[in-house]
Amino acid sequence: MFRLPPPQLLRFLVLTLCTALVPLAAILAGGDEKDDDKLSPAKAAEVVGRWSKQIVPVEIWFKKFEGDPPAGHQQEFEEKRPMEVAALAVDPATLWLPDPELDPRAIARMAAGADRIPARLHGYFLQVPGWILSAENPLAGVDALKFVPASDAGAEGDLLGLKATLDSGSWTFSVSPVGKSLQVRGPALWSKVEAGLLLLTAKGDPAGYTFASRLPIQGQPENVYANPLWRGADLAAAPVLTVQALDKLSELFVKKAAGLIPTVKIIPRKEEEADESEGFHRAFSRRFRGMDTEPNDLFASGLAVGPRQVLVDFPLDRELAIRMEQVKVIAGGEERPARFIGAFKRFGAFLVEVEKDLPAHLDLGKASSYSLYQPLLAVSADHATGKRRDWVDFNRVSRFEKGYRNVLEAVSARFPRRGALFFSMDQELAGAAIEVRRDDDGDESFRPSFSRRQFFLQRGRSFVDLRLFTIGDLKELLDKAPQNFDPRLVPRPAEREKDMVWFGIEFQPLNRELARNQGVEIATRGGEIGLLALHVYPNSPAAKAQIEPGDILLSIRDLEEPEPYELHVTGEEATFSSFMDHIGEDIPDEVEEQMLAQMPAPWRSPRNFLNNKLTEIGEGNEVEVAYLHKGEEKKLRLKLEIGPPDFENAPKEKLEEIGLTVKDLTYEVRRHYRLRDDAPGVVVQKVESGSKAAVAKIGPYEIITSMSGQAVASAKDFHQKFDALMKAGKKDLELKVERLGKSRLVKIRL
Amino acid sequence: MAKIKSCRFVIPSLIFLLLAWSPRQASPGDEKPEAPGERPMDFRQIIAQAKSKVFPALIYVAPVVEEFSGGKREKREQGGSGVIISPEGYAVTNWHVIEKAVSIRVLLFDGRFTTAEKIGEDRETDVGLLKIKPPREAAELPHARFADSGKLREGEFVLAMGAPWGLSRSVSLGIISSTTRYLPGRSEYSLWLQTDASINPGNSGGPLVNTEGEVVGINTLGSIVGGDLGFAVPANTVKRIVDSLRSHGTVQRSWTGLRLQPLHDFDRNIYFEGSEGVLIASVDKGSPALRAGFHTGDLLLKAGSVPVNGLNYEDIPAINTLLGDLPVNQEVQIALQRDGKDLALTLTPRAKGKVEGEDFELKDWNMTVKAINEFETPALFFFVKEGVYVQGTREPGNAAKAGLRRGDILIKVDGQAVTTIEELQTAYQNLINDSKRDKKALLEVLRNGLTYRIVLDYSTRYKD
Repeated sequence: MFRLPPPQLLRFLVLTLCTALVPLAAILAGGDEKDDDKLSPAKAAEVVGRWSKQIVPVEIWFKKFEGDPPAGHQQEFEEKRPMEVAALAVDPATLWLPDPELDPRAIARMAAGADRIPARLHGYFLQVPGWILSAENPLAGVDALKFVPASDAGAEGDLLGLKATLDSGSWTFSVSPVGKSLQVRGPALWSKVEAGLLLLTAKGDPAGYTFASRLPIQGQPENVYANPLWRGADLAAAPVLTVQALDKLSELFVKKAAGLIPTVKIIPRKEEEADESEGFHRAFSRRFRGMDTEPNDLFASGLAVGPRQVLVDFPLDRELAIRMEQVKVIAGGEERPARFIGAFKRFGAFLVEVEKDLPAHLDLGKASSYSLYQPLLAVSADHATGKRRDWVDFNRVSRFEKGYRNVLEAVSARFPRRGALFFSMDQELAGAAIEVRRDDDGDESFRPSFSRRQFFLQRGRSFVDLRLFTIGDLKELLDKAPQNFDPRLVPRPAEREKDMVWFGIEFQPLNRELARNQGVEIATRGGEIGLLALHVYPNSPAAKAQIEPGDILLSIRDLEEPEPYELHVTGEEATFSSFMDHIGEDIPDEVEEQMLAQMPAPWRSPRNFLNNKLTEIGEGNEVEVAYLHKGEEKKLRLKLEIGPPDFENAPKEKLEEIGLTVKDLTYEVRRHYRLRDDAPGVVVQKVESGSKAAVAKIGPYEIITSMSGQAVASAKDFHQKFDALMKAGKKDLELKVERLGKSRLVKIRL
Repeated sequence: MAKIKSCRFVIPSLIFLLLAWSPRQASPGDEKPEAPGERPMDFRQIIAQAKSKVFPALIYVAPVVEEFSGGKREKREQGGSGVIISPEGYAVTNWHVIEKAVSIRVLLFDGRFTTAEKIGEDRETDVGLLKIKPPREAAELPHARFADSGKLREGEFVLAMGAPWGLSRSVSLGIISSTTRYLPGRSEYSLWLQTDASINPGNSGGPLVNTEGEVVGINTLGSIVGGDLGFAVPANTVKRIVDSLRSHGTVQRSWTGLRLQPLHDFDRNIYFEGSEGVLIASVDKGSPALRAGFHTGDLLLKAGSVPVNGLNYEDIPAINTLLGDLPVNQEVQIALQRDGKDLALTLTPRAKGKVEGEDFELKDWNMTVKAINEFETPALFFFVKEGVYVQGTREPGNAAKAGLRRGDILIKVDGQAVTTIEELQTAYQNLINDSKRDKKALLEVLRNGLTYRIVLDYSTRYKD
């Protein structure tokens, strides 16, 4: 936005300046006396003495709104003290206040003046960021202000500004000349001021009041909002949106806009019961993440951005995206099934499409932009309580800022609600509030983040980065949609839900001693980073990249990112001994059935830190791995691929009649038990307590190699053979069960 | 403080103490033998007579044993009971009382003390044999006689006798609750006598005596949870073992690699048809049975000319004994049935060999190791057939600090593969004696199927 004006303009400006400044210069040069008249302490005291009574302190007390203390004022709320502001009393019952950027619903009460007369919000100025308060009873010692007519409001360089500030707990008045410094941007010329200044003419009469931080001097930009009113006379006649009028408007807007913000129902696939045999660790971490108490269906608000397209305002994480089985758009009284199109990489929203045209949708044809101080009506649908509630909020653009990724953003006075649709006062669509995702989202590679969902389920207020999109931004977002989708956030069918990208090694974390011993202290920062490969699975990406046991992996880098991710085990597996330590095989023969059921698997799960991180980066993406081979640093590139099934997602079959669940023998289980790749058998995953299999003392992790004399190739084969036996009317089931190389015969009566 | 040896096997709903008594519990011991030749009619007199027959043969056994499981090689005093079974001074006690004994002191009933020499022991049946050095040359020692434990019936009165400490002798009264108790994990070659006579640390290793004053069993296991439950090794088993120990110093069993299961398993509700033969549950890798061509599921009918019947678990120990008695390295014909068809296989059993691995202490590393043995540590044997594992780590100590744990199998020490205690010893000594190098060694250890690397820093000296 910063452009140097072209030479001609520059000359024009300079000339104008000089012209404007000449009289000023004359005055200044004209004699010290006159100067002293404006700035002298005597003058200041006189001004304060005469007008300070019009500047009234107002206490704003807060309350919790929808369970939360007001954003940005938690401390005052918790310390049970009010926010103190200074307002201008234009008459004994009316106060003007620069917009305090508060949600009025968080205000418990307001008290004005020394007598603490109760005051309430009467309305909002539409053209300047200001509020009008009305006092219940007349304020003592306050006169009705008579502003000088607009034309007499003087050259801006002549004004004095009177302000009250809270300093060390007491109000201090300050008087200073206004307009001495000037700002130029394009054709506009203004003076930077503070908001909340009572402007007085040189003679000491009230000229106006500043709601904004600029006092326009010259320049006529089209947009009235950038040229804020300040003259008292203008302000007195300026349009005001009263609270009552807002309520009426709200009804109107809800009717108009609600159809544009359909409710969207997200139905995730129900998580499988956490089997105890999946291991303490996983079951515990589920409970820790609150996943046990997740509601089945989630509600979000959507924006109908096309005749059939809805932009759903909901930040997905990988876990939820994968399990998102159905999405339904509730519009026109019906629940319409919607097809997932894609989730945006940079924003917390995803796109779906319905089959029939929606009853209403946004017209993205007209471009829009936000202006400084522009008032907005925001319509949003809130689903936090489970039931849809429509809100209309009065908001305003308070400033522009460079935000995340260096994007110039409009910032509103009040934090917008997520998914809010913004309208200008003339009911034109202005834009929407959409969440921005930061790139290091979900970097807790050990525990996938659950926090996003939690935030949504709460108020969606704090800690969420919402950006005010213009209509143009929205259109651009949708036009470029496919490029902007995150390939990792895609729903998957049930059998592919637990796909994991693999590297193909078993490893241990490095530590200081090992690093020293291997002579790799520098590269691994004294053993702080580094994964030592212990075993390389044949035909794995690691094997193809010729990684060998003894190699030390240092970091991986998603090729789309500049920064590599250093490899070090975090969290509960970080302690060296706890990493190595998981309950092994030496189970005494006679162990209580309950205890057996809760034992974690004896082999090391490939769902480790490294594979989890790679899965997050996503299959199909390329990464660069930095590693040490015999002390020498090397790099390799590889394309991530989904690994073969492991115990967690291995095909499984349950034989209900005997309460036995078996799974295919997967590669890590074969390695652990030293079984050949073609060795037959299935591994027991679960035995129902009290079932026939439990009585026969078949335990989890035992291997069943044959059924009634026939070798069992897979879980499916196991079930098929069983079904065949049942069909043939066989009374008994004979199984050969193995544990640690010792077998036994089990016979179960059917 | 009673030294409680931890059991490797946990029996369902019961937890047993292996009993060996370390000091000190005084009890009155003032006995007068009954006048011989009279036929007592009164029950109390029966008891008194039986007791007086055996009491003089009871001995208090006080060995000093060597212990490696705590991560360091330690000597410890222990105490138990025993009973003299021959006039020359052979005495029977439990294996666990004299296991790893370096010296044994004995206190006789009459107050004389002497030493004893370990003649032999059998871990599998928990029987040990001592030879007492008579305090006076060529003097005969009072001894007890064995009865035929096969004639015992449930309900018969028995007395559990022992020497709880020093001079005191104890007796408790009960009946035979069962003559054929099978305890999973502890009954490979013999069943147990179960009694409600109190079997406790004080009389472990001592005799279980019938009303005739004859030894029907050796007290071995007591229960920690249910007071009136004790187990004794039957006299017939003890006799066989003692004979073997006297002749050879060990019990020489042969090993086939066959593991058996009965036709009827009520506990698991597994019932196979037929009433003859015994099922082969498992054939060990590399065993004579595997070489002979046995399969899981085969029905073993005859070993040589002896028919075999393993209908219930209680029948299995006898069959194992039969197989264990087969001559080593001699072919024997086995008749079996496979898938309904008769079959004959030639089996050449080998010597069972050691059932426990050798111990070794690595003093500077503050840990003790043991050789992997297929019978003692089958879970480790599964991963490494010939190797050495960590038996214990001292706390505080260098090995414990490095993260080594009991059960870790040492694969390499400082780059050198170690498969035997000797190899480990050599590698260890070389490191310790090398004064020029850092006191750190890189170890590769196998834990839970994966081989990890650990740097063992042994620069700290820990005081004893």
